[in-house]
Amino acid sequence: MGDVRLNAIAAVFAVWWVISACNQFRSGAWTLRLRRYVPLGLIPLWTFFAPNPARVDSRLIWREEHGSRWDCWRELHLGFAPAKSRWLVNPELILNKAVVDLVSSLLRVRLEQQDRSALLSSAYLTLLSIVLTQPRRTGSSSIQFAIVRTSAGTHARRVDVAFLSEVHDIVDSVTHVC
Amino acid sequence: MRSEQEKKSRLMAVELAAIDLTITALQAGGRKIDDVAKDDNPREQWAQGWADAHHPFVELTERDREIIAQIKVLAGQLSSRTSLPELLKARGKIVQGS
Repeated sequence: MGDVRLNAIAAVFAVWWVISACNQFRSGAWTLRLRRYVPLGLIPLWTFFAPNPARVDSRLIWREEHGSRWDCWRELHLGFAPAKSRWLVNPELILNKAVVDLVSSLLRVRLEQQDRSALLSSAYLTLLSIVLTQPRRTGSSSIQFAIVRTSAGTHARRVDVAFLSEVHDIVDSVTHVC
Repeated sequence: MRSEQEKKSRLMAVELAAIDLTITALQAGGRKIDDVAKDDNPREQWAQGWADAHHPFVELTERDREIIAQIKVLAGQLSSRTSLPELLKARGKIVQGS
Protein backbone atom coordinates (compact mmCIF):
# COMPACT_ATOMS: atom_id res chain seq x y z
CA MET A 1 0.00 0.00 0.00
CA GLY A 2 2.86 2.31 0.93
CA ASP A 3 4.50 1.70 -2.44
CA VAL A 4 1.34 2.62 -4.31
CA ARG A 5 1.10 5.97 -2.51
CA LEU A 6 4.77 6.63 -3.04
CA ASN A 7 4.48 5.79 -6.73
CA ALA A 8 1.41 8.03 -7.09
CA ILE A 9 3.22 10.97 -5.49
CA ALA A 10 6.29 10.34 -7.63
CA ALA A 11 4.08 10.21 -10.74
CA VAL A 12 2.44 13.54 -9.88
CA PHE A 13 5.82 15.20 -9.41
CA ALA A 14 7.16 13.61 -12.58
CA VAL A 15 4.21 14.90 -14.64
CA TRP A 16 4.53 18.32 -13.01
CA TRP A 17 8.24 18.36 -13.84
CA VAL A 18 7.68 17.37 -17.48
CA ILE A 19 4.94 19.96 -17.99
CA SER A 20 7.10 22.64 -16.33
CA ALA A 21 10.02 21.72 -18.56
CA CYS A 22 7.81 21.94 -21.68
CA ASN A 23 6.56 25.32 -20.49
CA GLN A 24 10.08 26.80 -20.78
CA PHE A 25 10.08 26.52 -24.57
CA ARG A 26 8.40 28.89 -27.04
CA SER A 27 7.28 31.12 -24.15
CA GLY A 28 4.91 28.46 -22.88
CA ALA A 29 3.00 28.14 -26.15
CA TRP A 30 2.92 24.33 -25.94
CA THR A 31 1.22 24.35 -22.54
CA LEU A 32 -1.03 27.36 -23.01
CA ARG A 33 -4.30 25.37 -23.01
CA LEU A 34 -3.28 23.22 -20.09
CA ARG A 35 -2.24 26.19 -17.94
CA ARG A 36 -5.77 27.59 -18.13
CA TYR A 37 -6.92 24.69 -15.97
CA VAL A 38 -4.02 24.73 -13.53
CA PRO A 39 -4.60 27.16 -10.65
CA LEU A 40 -2.12 29.16 -8.56
CA GLY A 41 0.46 29.44 -11.33
CA LEU A 42 1.79 25.99 -10.54
CA ILE A 43 3.30 25.68 -14.00
CA PRO A 44 6.23 28.10 -13.84
CA LEU A 45 7.78 30.06 -16.68
CA TRP A 46 11.33 31.16 -15.90
CA THR A 47 12.70 33.81 -18.20
CA PHE A 48 16.07 34.73 -16.70
CA PHE A 49 18.01 31.94 -18.32
CA ALA A 50 18.15 29.74 -21.41
CA PRO A 51 16.32 28.37 -23.27
CA ASN A 52 13.87 31.23 -22.89
CA PRO A 53 15.58 34.44 -21.75
CA ALA A 54 13.27 37.43 -21.50
CA ARG A 55 14.49 40.17 -23.78
CA VAL A 56 13.32 43.70 -24.43
CA ASP A 57 15.13 45.82 -26.99
CA SER A 58 14.95 49.60 -26.94
CA ARG A 59 15.05 51.14 -30.38
CA LEU A 60 15.46 54.72 -31.48
CA ILE A 61 13.29 55.90 -34.35
CA TRP A 62 12.98 59.34 -35.88
CA ARG A 63 11.19 61.29 -38.58
CA GLU A 64 11.55 64.65 -40.24
CA GLU A 65 9.06 67.24 -41.41
CA HIS A 66 8.97 68.88 -44.82
CA GLY A 67 6.72 71.88 -44.91
CA SER A 68 3.71 70.57 -43.06
CA ARG A 69 4.18 66.90 -43.96
CA TRP A 70 5.94 64.32 -41.86
CA ASP A 71 8.04 61.61 -43.47
CA CYS A 72 7.80 57.99 -42.35
CA TRP A 73 9.51 56.92 -39.17
CA ARG A 74 12.99 55.52 -39.67
CA GLU A 75 14.96 53.36 -37.32
CA LEU A 76 18.47 54.13 -36.20
CA HIS A 77 19.80 50.65 -36.72
CA LEU A 78 23.39 50.12 -35.68
CA GLY A 79 23.52 46.52 -36.81
CA PHE A 80 24.92 43.42 -35.17
CA ALA A 81 28.11 41.49 -35.70
CA PRO A 82 27.74 38.19 -37.59
CA ALA A 83 26.38 35.50 -35.28
CA LYS A 84 29.36 33.22 -35.93
CA SER A 85 31.96 35.70 -34.72
CA ARG A 86 29.88 37.71 -32.27
CA TRP A 87 31.20 35.84 -29.25
CA LEU A 88 34.74 36.97 -30.14
CA VAL A 89 34.46 40.32 -31.91
CA ASN A 90 31.39 42.48 -31.48
CA PRO A 91 32.17 46.18 -31.92
CA GLU A 92 28.50 46.94 -32.60
CA LEU A 93 27.74 45.96 -29.01
CA ILE A 94 29.36 49.18 -27.77
CA LEU A 95 27.17 51.39 -29.97
CA ASN A 96 24.02 49.42 -29.18
CA LYS A 97 24.77 49.43 -25.46
CA ALA A 98 25.42 53.18 -25.53
CA VAL A 99 21.99 53.78 -27.06
CA VAL A 100 20.37 51.40 -24.53
CA ASP A 101 22.03 53.29 -21.66
CA LEU A 102 20.94 56.66 -23.04
CA VAL A 103 17.38 55.42 -23.43
CA SER A 104 17.44 53.99 -19.93
CA SER A 105 18.71 57.31 -18.49
CA LEU A 106 16.09 59.27 -20.38
CA LEU A 107 13.22 57.05 -19.29
CA ARG A 108 14.40 57.30 -15.68
CA VAL A 109 14.38 61.12 -15.86
CA ARG A 110 10.96 61.04 -17.52
CA LEU A 111 9.57 58.81 -14.77
CA GLU A 112 10.93 61.00 -11.99
CA GLN A 113 9.99 64.34 -13.58
CA GLN A 114 6.63 64.51 -15.28
CA ASP A 115 7.21 68.00 -16.73
CA ARG A 116 9.48 69.16 -19.58
CA SER A 117 12.66 68.58 -17.58
CA ALA A 118 13.65 65.66 -19.78
CA LEU A 119 14.25 68.22 -22.57
CA LEU A 120 17.41 69.44 -20.90
CA SER A 121 18.67 66.11 -19.66
CA SER A 122 21.98 64.88 -21.04
CA ALA A 123 20.38 61.74 -22.44
CA TYR A 124 17.70 63.66 -24.36
CA LEU A 125 20.23 66.09 -25.84
CA THR A 126 22.54 63.26 -26.84
CA LEU A 127 19.76 61.25 -28.49
CA LEU A 128 18.56 64.34 -30.32
CA SER A 129 22.06 65.05 -31.55
CA ILE A 130 22.43 61.44 -32.71
CA VAL A 131 19.30 61.59 -34.85
CA LEU A 132 20.34 64.97 -36.19
CA THR A 133 23.57 63.47 -37.51
CA GLN A 134 21.67 60.90 -39.58
CA PRO A 135 21.42 61.48 -43.34
CA ARG A 136 18.42 63.69 -44.04
CA ARG A 137 16.56 64.98 -47.03
CA THR A 138 17.41 68.53 -47.89
CA GLY A 139 14.87 71.09 -46.85
CA SER A 140 13.57 69.30 -43.79
CA SER A 141 12.41 71.82 -41.24
CA SER A 142 11.99 69.86 -38.04
CA ILE A 143 12.66 66.53 -36.45
CA GLN A 144 11.17 64.26 -33.82
CA PHE A 145 12.36 61.03 -32.28
CA ALA A 146 10.74 58.26 -30.31
CA ILE A 147 11.81 55.25 -28.33
CA VAL A 148 10.05 51.98 -28.94
CA ARG A 149 10.46 48.75 -27.08
CA THR A 150 10.21 45.42 -28.79
CA SER A 151 9.83 42.12 -27.01
CA ALA A 152 9.60 38.64 -28.40
CA GLY A 153 6.31 37.12 -27.41
CA THR A 154 4.75 33.76 -28.08
CA HIS A 155 3.90 34.64 -31.65
CA ALA A 156 4.56 38.07 -33.17
CA ARG A 157 7.07 40.64 -31.93
CA ARG A 158 5.39 43.10 -29.59
CA VAL A 159 6.15 46.78 -30.18
CA ASP A 160 5.38 49.51 -27.64
CA VAL A 161 6.05 53.22 -27.81
CA ALA A 162 7.91 54.20 -24.63
CA PHE A 163 8.78 57.82 -25.30
CA LEU A 164 7.96 60.52 -27.82
CA SER A 165 10.14 63.60 -28.05
CA GLU A 166 8.94 67.11 -28.72
CA VAL A 167 9.26 68.50 -32.23
CA HIS A 168 12.52 70.38 -32.78
CA ASP A 169 13.46 72.85 -35.46
CA ILE A 170 16.48 71.88 -37.51
CA VAL A 171 19.37 74.29 -37.64
CA ASP A 172 21.76 72.97 -40.28
CA SER A 173 24.90 74.51 -38.82
CA VAL A 174 24.93 72.04 -35.96
CA THR A 175 25.63 68.49 -36.98
CA HIS A 176 26.83 66.86 -33.80
CA VAL A 177 27.36 67.35 -30.09
CA CYS A 178 30.42 66.29 -28.16
CA MET B 1 22.93 43.89 -49.67
CA ARG B 2 21.45 43.50 -46.22
CA SER B 3 21.90 40.19 -44.50
CA GLU B 4 18.88 38.13 -43.55
CA GLN B 5 19.75 38.59 -39.89
CA GLU B 6 19.81 42.37 -40.23
CA LYS B 7 16.47 42.34 -42.02
CA LYS B 8 14.95 40.35 -39.18
CA SER B 9 16.41 42.55 -36.46
CA ARG B 10 15.25 45.80 -38.03
CA LEU B 11 11.77 47.14 -37.41
CA MET B 12 9.61 46.22 -40.37
CA ALA B 13 7.72 48.79 -42.41
CA VAL B 14 4.42 47.49 -41.06
CA GLU B 15 5.66 47.89 -37.49
CA LEU B 16 6.79 51.45 -38.16
CA ALA B 17 3.41 52.18 -39.72
CA ALA B 18 1.68 50.75 -36.64
CA ILE B 19 3.83 52.96 -34.41
CA ASP B 20 2.88 55.98 -36.52
CA LEU B 21 -0.80 55.10 -36.23
CA THR B 22 -0.51 54.67 -32.47
CA ILE B 23 1.19 58.03 -32.03
CA THR B 24 -1.25 59.79 -34.34
CA ALA B 25 -4.24 58.26 -32.56
CA LEU B 26 -2.88 59.22 -29.13
CA GLN B 27 -2.19 62.78 -30.19
CA ALA B 28 -5.59 63.10 -31.86
CA GLY B 29 -7.19 61.90 -28.64
CA GLY B 30 -5.20 64.40 -26.60
CA ARG B 31 -3.37 61.65 -24.74
CA LYS B 32 0.30 61.28 -24.00
CA ILE B 33 2.56 58.30 -24.40
CA ASP B 34 2.91 58.19 -20.60
CA ASP B 35 -0.77 57.32 -20.34
CA VAL B 36 -0.27 54.05 -22.15
CA ALA B 37 3.41 53.20 -21.69
CA LYS B 38 2.91 51.08 -18.62
CA ASP B 39 5.01 48.00 -18.15
CA ASP B 40 2.34 45.65 -16.88
CA ASN B 41 3.81 42.63 -18.60
CA PRO B 42 5.79 40.64 -15.99
CA ARG B 43 7.97 39.21 -18.74
CA GLU B 44 9.04 42.71 -19.79
CA GLN B 45 9.57 43.80 -16.19
CA TRP B 46 11.93 40.88 -15.70
CA ALA B 47 13.77 41.69 -18.89
CA GLN B 48 14.17 45.34 -17.93
CA GLY B 49 15.39 44.29 -14.50
CA TRP B 50 17.94 42.12 -16.22
CA ALA B 51 19.07 45.02 -18.39
CA ASP B 52 19.31 47.38 -15.40
CA ALA B 53 21.40 44.85 -13.49
CA HIS B 54 24.23 45.38 -15.95
CA HIS B 55 26.50 48.31 -15.40
CA PRO B 56 25.77 51.03 -17.91
CA PHE B 57 28.53 52.34 -20.15
CA VAL B 58 26.91 55.74 -19.96
CA GLU B 59 25.55 57.04 -16.67
CA LEU B 60 24.17 60.52 -17.06
CA THR B 61 21.30 60.58 -14.63
CA GLU B 62 23.40 61.40 -11.54
CA ARG B 63 24.65 64.71 -12.94
CA ASP B 64 21.13 65.59 -14.09
CA ARG B 65 19.82 64.93 -10.60
CA GLU B 66 22.26 67.45 -9.13
CA ILE B 67 20.95 70.24 -11.32
CA ILE B 68 17.34 69.13 -11.62
CA ALA B 69 15.96 72.21 -9.83
CA GLN B 70 17.56 74.55 -12.39
CA ILE B 71 16.55 72.25 -15.25
CA LYS B 72 12.92 72.39 -14.12
CA VAL B 73 12.86 76.19 -14.07
CA LEU B 74 14.58 76.64 -17.41
CA ALA B 75 12.72 73.82 -19.20
CA GLY B 76 9.43 75.48 -18.28
CA GLN B 77 10.55 78.70 -19.97
CA LEU B 78 11.54 77.09 -23.27
CA SER B 79 9.35 77.72 -26.26
CA SER B 80 7.97 74.89 -28.36
CA ARG B 81 9.99 73.58 -31.32
CA THR B 82 13.28 74.54 -29.78
CA SER B 83 16.32 73.65 -31.81
CA LEU B 84 19.27 71.67 -30.49
CA PRO B 85 21.55 74.75 -30.26
CA GLU B 86 18.92 76.51 -28.14
CA LEU B 87 18.65 73.51 -25.85
CA LEU B 88 22.41 73.27 -25.55
CA LYS B 89 22.64 76.97 -24.76
CA ALA B 90 20.06 76.56 -22.00
CA ARG B 91 21.83 73.51 -20.61
CA GLY B 92 25.15 75.38 -20.78
CA LYS B 93 23.72 78.20 -18.67
CA ILE B 94 22.73 75.73 -15.97
CA VAL B 95 26.01 73.86 -15.97
CA GLN B 96 28.07 77.07 -15.85
CA GLY B 97 25.90 78.46 -13.08
CA SER B 98 26.06 75.37 -10.87
